[in-house]
Formats: sequence, C-alpha cells, structure tokens
Amino acid sequence: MPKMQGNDSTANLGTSISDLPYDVLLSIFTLNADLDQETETTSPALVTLLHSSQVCFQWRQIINSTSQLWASVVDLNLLVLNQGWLEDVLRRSGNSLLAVKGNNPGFHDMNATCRFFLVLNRLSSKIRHLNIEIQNESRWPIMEEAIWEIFRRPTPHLETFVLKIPRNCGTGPKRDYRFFDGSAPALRKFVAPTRIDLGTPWLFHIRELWLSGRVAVDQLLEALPSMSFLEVLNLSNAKLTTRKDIGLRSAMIHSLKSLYLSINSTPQPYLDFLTHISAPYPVKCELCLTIHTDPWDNDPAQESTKWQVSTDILCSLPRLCDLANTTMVTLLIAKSRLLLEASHPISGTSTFEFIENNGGWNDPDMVVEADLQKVVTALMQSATFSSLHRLSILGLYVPAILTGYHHILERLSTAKILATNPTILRFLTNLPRSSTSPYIFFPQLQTLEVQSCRDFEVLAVQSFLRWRLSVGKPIQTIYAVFVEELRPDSMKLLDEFKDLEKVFKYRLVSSQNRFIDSDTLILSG
Amino acid sequence: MVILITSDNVKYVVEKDVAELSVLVKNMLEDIGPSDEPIPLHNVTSTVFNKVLEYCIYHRNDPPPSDDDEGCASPLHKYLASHICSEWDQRFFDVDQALLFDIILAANYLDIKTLLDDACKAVAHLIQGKSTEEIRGIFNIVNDFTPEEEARVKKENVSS
Repeated sequence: MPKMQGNDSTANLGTSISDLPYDVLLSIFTLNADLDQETETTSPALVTLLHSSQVCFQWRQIINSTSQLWASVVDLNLLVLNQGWLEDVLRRSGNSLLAVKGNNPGFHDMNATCRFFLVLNRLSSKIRHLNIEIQNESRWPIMEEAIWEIFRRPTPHLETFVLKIPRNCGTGPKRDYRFFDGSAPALRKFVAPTRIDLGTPWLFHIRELWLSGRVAVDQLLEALPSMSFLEVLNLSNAKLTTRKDIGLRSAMIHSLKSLYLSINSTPQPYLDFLTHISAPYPVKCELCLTIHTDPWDNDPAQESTKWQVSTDILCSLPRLCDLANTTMVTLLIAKSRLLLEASHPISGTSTFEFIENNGGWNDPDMVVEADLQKVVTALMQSATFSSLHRLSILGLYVPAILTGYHHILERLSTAKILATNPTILRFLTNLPRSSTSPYIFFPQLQTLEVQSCRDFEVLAVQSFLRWRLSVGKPIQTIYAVFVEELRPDSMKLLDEFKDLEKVFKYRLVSSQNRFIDSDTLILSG
Repeated sequence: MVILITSDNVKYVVEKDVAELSVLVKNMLEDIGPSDEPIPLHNVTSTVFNKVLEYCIYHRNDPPPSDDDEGCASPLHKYLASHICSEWDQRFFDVDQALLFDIILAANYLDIKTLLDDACKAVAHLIQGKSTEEIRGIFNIVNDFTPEEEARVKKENVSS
C-alpha cells in the first residue's frame, strides 16, 4: 500500500488528493462504504464514512449529497443503540435501497434486542442486501419467531438474504417454509439455516442458494432445472435423503459454477444426486466426505457397501469438474485422510476431502488402508490429468497405498513441476523398478520444489537428483526451503549437479516461535 | 506496434495489445486506422507513463473486467482480482502520494479501468479506519469548515 507521506514535503509539491476529479473521489468513498469488505480487524465502514465526511468542505459535500453511500453502510450494531444516528443515517440515505448488516443482535440488553427487530421490521421493505448473524444461541428461541415473521412478507427489492445462526439452533421456522410470501423478484442470493419450499417462485432467478436441513433428492432434482441462473449451490449444511419408491429424474443445471457438499451421514443419497445432475461447463466442487467406520462392526457387507458408495461418489466428480484439463494437482495422503485439490483454468480449484472416522481408534493396525487404497486408485483411474503442469504430493507419512503407485503416478505423468517433501522424495527414489521395463515416472519433470527440508534430508534430495540423472531425465531447477541451518558438508552434497539451477531459502523458527524467512539464495544457474 | 508520445515528448513503442488496455488509445487507433502516426498523450508525462506501462505489461493477460454486477463475476475472476495480483500490486502502488495521484489522473485520462480501480483502492485503504484528523494529516488537507459547520460536525459522533 502507498507510503504515508502526509507530513513530508513531497506531498506539498506534486499532485494532491484535492486535484482528483469529483467522480474519482466518489469512487474512493464508495470503495470504503462497503459492508462486505469489513473484517474483524477493520473499523466499521459507517465510521470511516462519517470521518471522511468531516474532513473538509469538498469531501463533506460529495459524501452528504450521495445518498447511496449512506444507504450502503446501515450497520445495526452501531445504529440500534443510537436512535439519533439511526435517524440521521436514514435521512442521509434518502430513497436509496439499503445494505443492512448486524452481527450481534444477541445484545445483553433485552430492550436492544427488541429494538433490533423493530428497526429491521421498519426497514425491511427498503433493504437490498441483508446480512444478519445471530451470535447468542440462548436468545435465538426469543428472536426466531420475530425474524421469520419479518421475512414472511413479500420483499420487492431484496437481492441478498444472508442469515446465520449458531449451528444448534434448528433449521427454520416451525410453522411453514414460505419465505417472502413467495414474492422476492430481485432475490439473487439466499443463505439461511432453514428448509425452504423448493417450488417457491423466487428460486427461478436465484444465483446462489444454500440449503439446510433435510432435503429430498427427488424434490431437489425436480426443482433444479427451473433455476436457470443458479451459479452456486451449497449443500454443506443440508442432509440429503431419498424417499422409497420415488424415481429420480436427471437434472441439467444450466449455469452452475460451484457446488459445495459435506457428507457426514448415509452417502447413498449424495451418490444418487451426483449421478443425476449435469452442467454444461466445468464446475468447481468442494466435497468433504467423512466415512464412519467401526473396528468392531461385524457386518462386513454393510461396511463394504459404505466404502463402495463413498468411492463411487468421488469417482462421479471428475465428470462435473473436468479434471482432464486441470493444470495443478495437490495430493495429500495420510493414514485416514485423502485430500485432492485440482485447479482448473476456468472453474477454479476443486477440493475433495475424504476422511475416515473410526471413532478414535488410532491404532495403526486398525486403519483400513486397503480400503483407502481402493478409493485413491479408483479416483485416479476415473480421471485423466492430461494438462497437468504442477503436482504437489504432501504429507509426512508414506502410506502402503502407494505400493499400487503405477496406477497413481501414470495418471499424473505430464507433471513438469513436482512439489514435495524429502520423505516422499525418498519413497519415490526407492520405488522398485524393473530393469526389463524401466518405467520412468514423471518423464517431463523439469523442476523440483522441496519443502521443509532438514539437514539430514539433503541426502534424500541428492539420491533423487542422482537417480533422475542416471535415467537421462535430469532435473533442471531445484527450489528448496530449509527449516534448519545446513552444515557445510550437507551443502556440498548438491555440488556435483553442475547444470542444476539451485534456489534455496531458509525458513527458521525464532526464539519467539515465529518463522523467519531468509532472502532467496541463488547458488547457481 | 504502436507509437505513443507523452506530454514531455518522450516516444514509446508499445505492443498493440498493451496499448489497447487504454480505451482512449484503442479508440484513437480505430479512428485513424492502420498508420505509423504517433499518438500524443497530452496529459501524461513520461515519469507517470513509465508506471502506467509497467502496470499494463504486467496485467496484459488478465481476464477483461466484467460489466456485470458483483454477483455475476466468476469465482476465478474474483480470485484473480483479490489474490494473485495483490502482492505485486501492493508493491506497485508503494509510491509517494503525488505519483499515486498522478497515476490515478493518467488512468482516468487514458481510460484504463483496472488501473484506476486498483489505484483508488490504494487510496481508499489509506483512509480506512482513520480518524478525521488522521485523514487530514495523511493527505495534508486543510480544515476549511466555517465555525458554524465545525460546530455541527462536532455534534456528529456515532458513539455518542
């Protein structure tokens, strides 16, 4: 960000802020009058706007004559407790539609809570963007009815409706699920911890939809094709269910760009959903699948089905995400966790996380590696990665899974950059190779990035580089981050690679447990 | 290639795709058709144009800014806008205020929307969270309120 030069002489000599035209100054004030940009560490946008309006005559004139600025910063946290200011801000906002935010209507004072809802009720027909977060769980039963009552009425101007409540506070109004009396013609984004009627008319033009609670897959598949503008579907807080004897239709979601799923219960409905949806363009997917296993369960058939369905879910995703054209892949394989990140040039980064929860039984012998191996292998075989440029393999643990390494490494063979750690490098170097068919994994590899390398691990790096050299596929550039000072002898281990460009960096921990990054050292090349 | 001449008569030979990030230059090129005629940039000095050019070269392959509202921008576009360029941009805008305002004026004149937006963000960032007095200090702005206005302003306080 720019240097603050307010008191130095250069600010007086050259162009100053007062030389900027009206519309540019207005753009600057508009950038700061944005409730979405607020974070816990920034000061409220309303306060910044107020202070800006008090700087000089010119700024005051611009800000006070632009009602949209004041309409954009209706911060109920500040205004509910200050009636005078509330009226002043509303007066300044004129007839402009409002952006309203409030993240603490669980005020200690019950009167303040009541005032919050009175104000919200009063403003509701003028609100364009609403973002409310209830933080006080104990107050929710009192507030719940009031808030649903406000948003049961038609809302002509509302574009964004975001309501967040503590996780344990249920899933929506008890009496009915008919929001806005079915009429919200401008609504584009709906985020609420509630079940909704999937046939409601305002869903036809929704762009971002978060669903919560139980959602029947057949009803969802029925509704989705009519949501022609739906770009983001978030089912992370939903529990998909299937109903017996009801057939499922296929659903094309015409504008879908992002899909979020968190599977923590029976996986079959999610498989039903994923195998029945399609989209015309690659979709960014974020999936977290937790499979609960019981080491003492005596029903192997049921366990086997659970794993198979989970595997099928993961294998259904490459079709949606266009993994063939991903350029970067990160693979993290731990004992009971698999994480695959795949970056697509158009749709962005998809993530698939697979967690095995065996109820805290962490005995390594109990870990079902064989099943995880099947999942990894199936996932990799369900996709080709023909455009892969950069591959990261992370994790300190080298699982026995990689004994079936050919299936995995062959799929990733177009990688030109490999980012990994010395443990994985050692593993790759020591993979058994047949002299009759000397398969060389990563034949196009040019660059090696070694993360978190310690002094004694330089040997592993040396072995890997030697091996690449011996098969006629030398590495051209190595980037290495060392987490401890190297002894001179260790540094010399890499001297033999004369044509190798070496770029090293130290990342050491200070006595205050902070990381201190050194400047980059380019040793050759 | 396109030839551009700044107000202090410095000549630049710039690749066409870079030059056309300026809507002003793009329109002028369309108006004059195929020609080797240099294009004068009356309101931009070479010192400022060097910075403008540096920005345009770095951002030449960025996806074009969308005219759609925020809700329509793709997640990737938003990601690129907010993350990938930010570190470079932060260093780029780490200049003295006079030059920063000159860049804004040049971007406004040349009609380079992304540069104008990013430079305005840099100024907006300087204002964020500051008291009125601090803002005046940062930008050397004189308090020019009349005593009556000053009294009215002092009554406004969101925390009172």
